[in-house]
Amino acid sequence: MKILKRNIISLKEAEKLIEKYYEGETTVAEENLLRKYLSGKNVPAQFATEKAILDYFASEKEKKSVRLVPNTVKWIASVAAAAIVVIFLSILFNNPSSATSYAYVDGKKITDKNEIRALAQIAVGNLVSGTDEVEEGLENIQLGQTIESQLDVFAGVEF
Amino acid sequence: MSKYLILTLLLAVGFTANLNAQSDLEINKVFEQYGKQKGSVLVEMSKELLKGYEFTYYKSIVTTNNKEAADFARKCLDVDQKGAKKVKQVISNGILSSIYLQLPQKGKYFRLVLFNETTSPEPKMTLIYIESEKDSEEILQISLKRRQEKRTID
Repeated sequence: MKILKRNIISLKEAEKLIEKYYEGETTVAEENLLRKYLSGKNVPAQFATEKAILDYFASEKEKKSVRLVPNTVKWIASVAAAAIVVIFLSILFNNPSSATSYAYVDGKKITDKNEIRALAQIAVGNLVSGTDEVEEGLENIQLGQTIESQLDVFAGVEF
Repeated sequence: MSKYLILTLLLAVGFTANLNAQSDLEINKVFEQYGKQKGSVLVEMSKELLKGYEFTYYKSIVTTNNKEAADFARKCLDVDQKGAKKVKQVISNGILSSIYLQLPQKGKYFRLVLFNETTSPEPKMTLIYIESEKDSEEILQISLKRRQEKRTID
């Protein structure tokens, strides 16, 4: 404790601390003191190995702290990449023109454009014929006409 | 680091998957559940196949002899008609047999859901979902013009 307060150690104290260090009994404060001692001028040659070890760990620690910046950049880059994916996929999903056209009949996939159109026409035809009974009562409803007119786009014009 | 990336990407995919204009509707479940079954005809058409028409997207399902599908569609329509404009509705013997819904606009797309069920000659349910960039009035004008042109040709 005394040496910690003094913040400076003698050769003998350094030797003791190194012994403690190898036994894994030094505190962080003691290791810092030792590092300070070993990084000073006129370090005895006998401590060259210990100096090298502590220097190595010190440089590793520095590297880790330096890596914080690239990690942040990486994080920003990943968020940016995700944002690009969001934008791309939202365009993809929001733009009907990018969707594919297909049909399934009894579970069998059909990709022929003419067949797909014909099947759509049949579906719309079902709807139009099925609503004949109520058509008269809805003549004056503009929205009803609108829908019927929309259906005419399918039913009235050949695909 | 990679876990953040994966999480963000998963969120992104989840978010964008929800952006599909019709995927927020209950009727989407009808297409998904019964579209590829035997006795069903599922059609999906995107813009490139609808060139020259006023629709930008079309999806329909026709099921034959499938009461379960029709009942399920009715349940889904019950949910989807909340907030939608009911344009046309036919109830036969207390059961919904036909309904046209004008759904709230999503982005620039006007959306319509059309449902019809007939019992003869065989039970047949038709459910159609349509998207259009043009508003109803504009579509009406274009359609009427086409009608007149067609009559002139005939």
